[in-house]
Amino acid sequence: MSDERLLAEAAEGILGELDGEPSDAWRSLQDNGWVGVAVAPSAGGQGGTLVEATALARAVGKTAAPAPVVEAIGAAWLAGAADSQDARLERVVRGETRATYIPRLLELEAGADASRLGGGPWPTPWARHSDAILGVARVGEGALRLVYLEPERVEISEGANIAGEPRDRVGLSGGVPADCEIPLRCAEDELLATLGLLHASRQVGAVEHVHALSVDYAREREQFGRPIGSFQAVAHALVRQLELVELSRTALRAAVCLEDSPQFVDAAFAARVAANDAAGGCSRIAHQTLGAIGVTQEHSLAGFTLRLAAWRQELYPPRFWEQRLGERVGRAGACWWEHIGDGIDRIPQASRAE
Amino acid sequence: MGTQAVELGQLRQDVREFLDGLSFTPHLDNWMRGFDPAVSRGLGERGWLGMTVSPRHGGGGRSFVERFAVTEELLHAGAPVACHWIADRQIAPVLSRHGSEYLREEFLPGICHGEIFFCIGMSEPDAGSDVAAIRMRAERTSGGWSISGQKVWTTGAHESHYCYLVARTSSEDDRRAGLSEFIVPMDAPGLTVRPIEDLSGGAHFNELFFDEVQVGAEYLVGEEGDAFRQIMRQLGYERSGPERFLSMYGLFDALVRHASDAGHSELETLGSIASRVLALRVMAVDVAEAVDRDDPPASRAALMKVAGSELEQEIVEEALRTLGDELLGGPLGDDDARLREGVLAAPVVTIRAGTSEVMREVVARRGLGLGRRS
Repeated sequence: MSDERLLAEAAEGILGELDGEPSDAWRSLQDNGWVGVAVAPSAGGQGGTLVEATALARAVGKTAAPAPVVEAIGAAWLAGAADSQDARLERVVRGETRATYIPRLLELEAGADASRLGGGPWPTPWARHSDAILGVARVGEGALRLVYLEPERVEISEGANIAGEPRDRVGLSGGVPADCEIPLRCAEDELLATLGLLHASRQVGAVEHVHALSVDYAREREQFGRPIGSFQAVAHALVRQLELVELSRTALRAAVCLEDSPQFVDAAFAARVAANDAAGGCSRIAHQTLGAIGVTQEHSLAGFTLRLAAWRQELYPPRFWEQRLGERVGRAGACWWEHIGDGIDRIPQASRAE
Repeated sequence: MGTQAVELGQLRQDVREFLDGLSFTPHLDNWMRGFDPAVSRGLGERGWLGMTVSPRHGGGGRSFVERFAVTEELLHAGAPVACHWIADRQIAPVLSRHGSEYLREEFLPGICHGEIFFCIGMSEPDAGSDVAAIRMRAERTSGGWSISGQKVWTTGAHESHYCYLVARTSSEDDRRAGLSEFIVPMDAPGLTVRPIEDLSGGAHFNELFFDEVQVGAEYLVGEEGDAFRQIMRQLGYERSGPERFLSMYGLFDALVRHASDAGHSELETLGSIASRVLALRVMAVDVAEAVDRDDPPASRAALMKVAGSELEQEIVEEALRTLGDELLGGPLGDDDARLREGVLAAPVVTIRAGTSEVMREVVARRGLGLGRRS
């Protein structure tokens, strides 16, 4: 079994036992050394590739665990991408500071004595349970800054997404102190690709589970004297569901393999697009298959489909990713074919046996 | 970068350069419709046909993944590769696996050189998706077999030297038993070919009539009565290649070129299609690797075929919505010509090589374990 698979199984076990106490969830991430998995050792992290990070994000999707896995790993990755030696960020990477991030790009505007962030308040996962809130802001043409916000500096109004997960609104009425603006080493598309891939992984984990629930139910539930999965209309819908699952996990795997390649951004955007498609289609088919039991509190299905509905909107909704990928393909023009072919040839065979 | 990636990249580059040196008009669906024996011979000379066949029989001894890289480039270019396509794709690997030494020596070198072209005699008037309903009879004679019956929708029969067909050699209670495979020369006495015009006005497929066509005993492929198992493997080769999602690539390219003046909704659709093109290309290499491991993934191939062919139809639909103004008339530009080809080719992509409905049955039963009856 691959190391990645072992990690995923261990993580599913650990995450599956969390009972919803936020501090326990944070401690679990810290104790298991999962926070800095996407950060290179040279920047204080324990990993440096997206292999473990996406496996963990997928595990939280598969278990619907009440834990800020994507938030903590994403925030640590952002901290590791800062172009500065900063003790506060090092603590984020090491998991000592519990950090989350605002899942959208902000605008930083010059003010009279301090910069200001335009807009807000911004929906932010786990803000009330975090010691630091990271934002990413554009400054002028293309450059990005990391904005380090301590909870006492912002206004947090508690809220929840449609699945009941903590999604608070974070507002900042004052200016951003100069020492809280930190240059970032990566460009916008690369940043979106990495965070988008974490979000896509979480979605893929959930759609895989939703698919498994649906197929199991169709094999067991009998009507008209036979399992409902023996009816073509039901079976073919489940094949469509599998198609969406396969496309999404294939695109995810390709993107993870291509992390250090010129095709990474395209592959990661494609993975997010495929995960969004799967989230919508798989949920709809799952509910249709399970019938009334699927919409009850008694059954676990709705916990996953509501999360999928909420997660699909987070870090920009589906149209955003489709359009961004469309723009990139359009810019590459006729070369896109060759560009992607070079990437596909580079995906190692060992990674294919899943 | 791994050595394999470098080699595959070079291979793709070599194919592109070869194609650049030819003069042909790219067409959609050209692996079905573009017949040019010289192009096939040229590919054979460079070792790009029968790539997975043993060198002992004139092949390249290479992997299905390498073959995948070559076929992707041929499809992308819209090159006229229909002459050899079926022989290279499924006859070569099937003969390598099930054929006698005589048949291998007789046919494999010619296939690898791009000199012997095949068609497949599978469908009959009463046996479309239901292969086990085949009625064509092969009766044993003193020196071999006498074949009578009818085949239909036989692509490229008029350009082929041989037909690879399935016939019933005995009547069994189990409909799947008693089927056998044969190779029949297209110039055999008693064999008549009648073209069928399709909606495009072209005739890439045909009806074949067999009236006591005599073939030698050596032209039986594999075990007598065991064809059903061989057919399933052969269909795996037929369904799992990149032609199941790249037949309309020329139109996707037109959409890509159009992107510079596209609005939001067109870009969104382009991104949505591009995401699936990327994922399907990776899925298709996965299938090629499974074949290399001798683990033919019937279910994955069927899933890829249904996803790929339905994406092809979506590409045509989007091209109509985005570029379709010119379809109504006027002088034909390249994009307009391709759009017309796409509209004409689209209906059949989810039918040939197994309908979407049959593909979903294969996946439901083999992949998901959902039985027809419990």
